[in-house]
Amino acid sequence: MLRKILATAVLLAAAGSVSAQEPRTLTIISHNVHKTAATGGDLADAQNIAGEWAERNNVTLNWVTLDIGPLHDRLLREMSLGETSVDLAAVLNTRVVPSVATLLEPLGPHMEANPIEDFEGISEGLREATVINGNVVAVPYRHATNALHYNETLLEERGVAVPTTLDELLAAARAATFTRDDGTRVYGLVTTLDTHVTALQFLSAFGAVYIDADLNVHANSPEMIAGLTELANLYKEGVLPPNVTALGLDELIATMREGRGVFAINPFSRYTALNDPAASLYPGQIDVMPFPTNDPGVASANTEFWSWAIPANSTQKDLAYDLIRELSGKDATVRAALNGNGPVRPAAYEDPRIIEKLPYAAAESIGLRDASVAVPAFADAVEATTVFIEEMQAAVLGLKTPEEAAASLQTRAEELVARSK
Amino acid sequence: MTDAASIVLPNMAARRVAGTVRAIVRTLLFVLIIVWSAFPILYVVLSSFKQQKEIFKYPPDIIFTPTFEHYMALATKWTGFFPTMANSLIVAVGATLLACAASILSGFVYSRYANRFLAGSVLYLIAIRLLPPIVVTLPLFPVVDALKLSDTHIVLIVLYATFWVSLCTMIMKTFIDKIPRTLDEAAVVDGATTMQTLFRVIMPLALQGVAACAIFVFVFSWNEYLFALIFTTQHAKTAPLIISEVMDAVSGTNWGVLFAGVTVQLLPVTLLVMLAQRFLIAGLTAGSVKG
Amino acid sequence: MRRLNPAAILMLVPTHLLLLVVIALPSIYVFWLSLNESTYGSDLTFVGLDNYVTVLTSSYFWRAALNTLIVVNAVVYIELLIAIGMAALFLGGVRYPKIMFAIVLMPYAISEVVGVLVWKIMLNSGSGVLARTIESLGFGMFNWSVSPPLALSVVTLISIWHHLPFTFLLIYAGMLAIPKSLYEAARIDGATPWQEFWRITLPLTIPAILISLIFRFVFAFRLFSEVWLLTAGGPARLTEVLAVYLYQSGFKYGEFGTASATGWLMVIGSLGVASIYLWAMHRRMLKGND
Repeated sequence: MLRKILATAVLLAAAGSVSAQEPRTLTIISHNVHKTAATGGDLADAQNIAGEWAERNNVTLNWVTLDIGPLHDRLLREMSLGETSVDLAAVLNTRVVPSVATLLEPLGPHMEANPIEDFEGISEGLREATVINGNVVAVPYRHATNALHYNETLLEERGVAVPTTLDELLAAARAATFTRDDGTRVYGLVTTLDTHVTALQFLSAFGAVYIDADLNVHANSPEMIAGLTELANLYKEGVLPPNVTALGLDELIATMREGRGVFAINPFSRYTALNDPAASLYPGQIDVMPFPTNDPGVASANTEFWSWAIPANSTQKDLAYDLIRELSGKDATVRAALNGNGPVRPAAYEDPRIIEKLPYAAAESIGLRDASVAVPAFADAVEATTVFIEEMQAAVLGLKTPEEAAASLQTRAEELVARSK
Repeated sequence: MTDAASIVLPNMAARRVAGTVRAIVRTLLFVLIIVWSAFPILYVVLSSFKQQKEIFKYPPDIIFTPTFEHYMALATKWTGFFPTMANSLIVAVGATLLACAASILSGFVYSRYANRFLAGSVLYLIAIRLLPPIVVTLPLFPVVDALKLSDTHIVLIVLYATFWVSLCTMIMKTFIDKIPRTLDEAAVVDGATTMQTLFRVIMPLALQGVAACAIFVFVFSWNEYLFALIFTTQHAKTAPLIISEVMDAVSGTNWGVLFAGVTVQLLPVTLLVMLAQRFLIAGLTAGSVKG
Repeated sequence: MRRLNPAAILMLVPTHLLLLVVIALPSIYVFWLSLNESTYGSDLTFVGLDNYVTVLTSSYFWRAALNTLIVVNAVVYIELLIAIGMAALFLGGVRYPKIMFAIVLMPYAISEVVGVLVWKIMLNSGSGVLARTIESLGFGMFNWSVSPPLALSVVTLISIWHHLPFTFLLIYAGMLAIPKSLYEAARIDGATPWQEFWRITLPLTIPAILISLIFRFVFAFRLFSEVWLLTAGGPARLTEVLAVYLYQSGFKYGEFGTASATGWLMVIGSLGVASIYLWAMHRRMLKGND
């Protein structure tokens, strides 16, 4: 029996190595969502954009998919070698700090020789964030812009109206917090406070900015203190879940799906998961809107985005660039959005195919229009997010007053910025 | 007579009561051990047969109509899973054989020979394992790449075996220590070489040690994640990498598929453990015969 | 006790070659790294002991060291006591030994990451099956994640759950290797099971106990997944352990000098906590064990 299993295993391994001997293989390292966006994966109406390109160019795509942390760890190690087999990589904006950017192929010359169709059509804020030391090092491909999700059924049940301003939201979240007869607590507002992005989304609605694009630190601003104070109050009052600082994405999704949360801060694209009929107790009842501010009609939107980049030590840069060009085209952007991608071209939201497919298209296009990057990419950007998380959690749990936390955050962030200049 | 009987009888009754109490306590302890060990596992296995909506229900359903959708999804949507299990098997079996072979040899030497150098090198065997493996990957990654060993089964086999030879050498030494030296001396008198003594005389009596080592190395190699992530991409990719992709930080964990994958992954290890249990007992009988 | 001969030296080669190539040489290079500043794709810049100074003057390092010390000692000793008790229980006879054995080893067979996640799901405040059971028994909300002592207790619990089979297996195998004849002789002398345990089982299991103690200290000292997946070191970095500190400061920021220095400081730390047992083992080696 064991021998049979082993024999099968050896055969399988052998089969794998034969198929790799194709003349031209392009190795892509990315998260699974990018593979799905570019190929359609196993979707019923898959738009296989990358596959069509590969067939036309007689290329075999070797797609290595990893989760966020492992993906960057592996990519950085590969880029430190003399030569890598990785030709194309999906990178998260916060990870493309200057030291990493030097390991990426500058795309300017490629783009001059072979322009990307309507490059200016890609959201300006995202394009600017991929220019590091004067070089375009990556092409934006997928954005995750934060928004406000809300359970319509629960709001109706509690007789609370859908808010249009920040103050209304805070009041609504408080009014919607209650305990069910069976002891289940329902929280007015659910967010992940183990990361900086969603917390900064909440704070930015108060007008708070942590570090701006010119690397000025505004952590000790009245807006930041007001936001932190409100967050701490919501925690104290039990409007936020008691384990909010350790609450990860999985718990947030579960909480919303099970109707234990009314409002949630998360990217627009979470809509699909929250309303999934196979997993959610409230399918089709969890709507999404741009995160409100106290200026009616003006949203606040923090965004994180993914880009395609080419390792400078890759051996097939031209081929890799050609695929980036293909994937970034206008029509390809719409088709990838049909595969579930967050399109980086605002114009894509006006495409009838998208309006038909994505119920939240209109809201998301507003979000993308107002979007700004949570923390700019500078040398110590990752450490700056860690410091922020630490001080923010201390303020929320009452280990420090919001004023103390904001002051300490200001000093520490200024040190980091100074160090990287 | 009556005196003796009256003394013995209550004594026997007391013993019987004590025996019953002991039996009950033992049974209770076993039940406690089962609950402690199996509860989280049972939670995983049962959940893998539940609809996604039912998985986090409170109070959880004990009786439900099982669904195989997650296993279907594992086979159809996570097409990498079953092929990577084959890789995991090759790597785990290879590492187990290598680690056990090396440790039997060195364990024998550490048991049967002694001098200051050997005593000192025992400390070295352990001290060398103190550096957290993640920092060791820093120099290893470029070297493995330069040797063109990246993404091969061999690199994982060698790495995993190395992580366990220290402990397994110590284990083998301890077990061989318990075997009377007179046995190998007799074998030497009969003209056996050192190797013959080791494999014909010592080994059959040290099977418990080998079984314990094999379980440790196999289980570790079967589940190892960090080194598999760094040193493989496709051809040698192991199952834990697919499992980690199911626990997805972009779109959220797919719990049903995760639990199904973990359940499938548990099966081979459980079979191995049950197989190894026989050797633990076999070693016992062999030991008592000669003892 | 024989003198080392060429054949014996040859038999040591596989083990020592593996250790030398895979661990010893890279470790020396890591020490060199700890004296330099470097990141992904950069050259080394020699900075002397700067990295060690940075780490040793960081309050986060010391908090992590303290947390590690507490958790490691709790885990190793509690685990050892339970394992000895369990092994003795098994030694007294087991029904359905194969199945029981498989059940007991299951926590070890499941991958660490998954094991921790399952416990996290079960203990999630307000939704987990265990947390809600605790709550429904009237203990109030089991909100461990915002309380460092409770969070570290949960870390300890899960770590013991996951690694108990390791210690149990080593000690049980050690007990199984004790010759039956010794027990028979003791029984003839009228020893009670309790006396048998103290006079035969325990003393003869000491070598296995020593090994399991030493290696559990080694492994527990780099405890990572439990903390990383449960609290990620939070809230406010209060529950970090050394391996999390190493990852945070070294790998997340790509500062390999700091990572390497922390790694070597952890070597010293774990040598410290396991030193008595290492010394004991060394003595046994010198004496030739019997």
